Amino acid sequence: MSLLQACQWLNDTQLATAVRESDIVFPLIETVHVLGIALLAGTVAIVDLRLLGLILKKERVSQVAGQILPLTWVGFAAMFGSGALLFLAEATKSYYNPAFRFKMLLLIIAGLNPLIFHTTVYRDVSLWDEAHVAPRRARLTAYLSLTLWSAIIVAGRAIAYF
Amino acid sequence: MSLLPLFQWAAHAHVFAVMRDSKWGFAAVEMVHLLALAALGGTVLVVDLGILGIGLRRQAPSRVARELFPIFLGSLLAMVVSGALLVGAEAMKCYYHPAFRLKMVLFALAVLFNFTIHRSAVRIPSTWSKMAAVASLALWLGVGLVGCAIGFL
Repeated sequence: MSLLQACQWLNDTQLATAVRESDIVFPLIETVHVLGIALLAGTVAIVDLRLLGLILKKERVSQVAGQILPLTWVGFAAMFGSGALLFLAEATKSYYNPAFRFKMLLLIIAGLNPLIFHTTVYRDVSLWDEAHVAPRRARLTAYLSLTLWSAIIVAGRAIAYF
Repeated sequence: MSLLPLFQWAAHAHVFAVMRDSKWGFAAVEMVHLLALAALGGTVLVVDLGILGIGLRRQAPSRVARELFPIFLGSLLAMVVSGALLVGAEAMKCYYHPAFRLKMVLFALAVLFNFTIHRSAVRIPSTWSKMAAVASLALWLGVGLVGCAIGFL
C-alpha cells in the first residue's frame, strides 16, 4: 500500500468522515490545535531563550528545562492528538498539500533536534548549568529550535491557503 | 460615541488595501499573529502555572514574571499590531461580529487585569496570587477561544 493509498483509506474511515462532516467538532479541534501552540512552542521557546542567556540567566539551565519540560509534553500531546484528528479528516487533501508536506518534514527535524541535544551537549549540563549563556553547541540547538518551531507555525497556517 | 465610522474608514483605507486584495498579505499577518500567540501564551502560562505550583514552581513568581516581562510586552505589541491589520482587512465583518466584540472586551479586561491586580498579587505568594493566576489564565484563554470563533462563526 502506497502512502497515498494509506491516506485515502484513512480519509474514508468512519471517524475521519464524522470529524470532516461535523460543523462543531472540526472547528473545536482546530481551536485546541491553535491554542496549543502556546503550550508547546511557547514553553520550548522559553527554554531556548534561557540557553541563549536572554531570560532567567540566574536560574540553573537544568532547573528551568526540567521544570518546564512536563508542560511541553502536555502541549505536545494536545498538539499531536488534535493534529492527528485534523489530518485524518483531510488525509487525502493533506497528502497533496505542499505546506502540509513541508510541515511534516520540519516536525521530523524539530523532533531530532532535542533528541541529539539531550544525548550529546546536555549530558554535560552540570559543567555549564550555572553559566548565564550556554556553550556554543547548546546555543546552536536553541537557534535551530526557535527557527524550526516558527517555521512549523508558519507552514501550519499556510496549509489552509493551498 | 459609535466606533462605526472608524470601521467604515478602515474598510476603505488605502493602508489595508494590500491585505484585502492579496491572499498572502493576509496570510502573512495571520502567521505573525500566531507566532506572537506562541510567545504571549507561553509567558502567560509559565508565569501563572508557576504561581499555581506547576512548571517553574521553585522560582519566585515575581522574579519569573519580571524576567519574562520583555517577551510578554513584545509579543503583546506584535499581537495588537498584527491584530489591528487583520481587523482592518475585514473591518465590516468584525464590526458586526459578536465574537469579535466579545474578544475586544475580554482582551481589554485581560490587559487591564494584568497591569493592575495581577501585577501586585504576584509579589507575595498567597491564596490571593493563586486566584489572580487563575483569573489571568481564564481571561487569556477566553480571548483565545473567542478569537478562534471569529474565524469559524
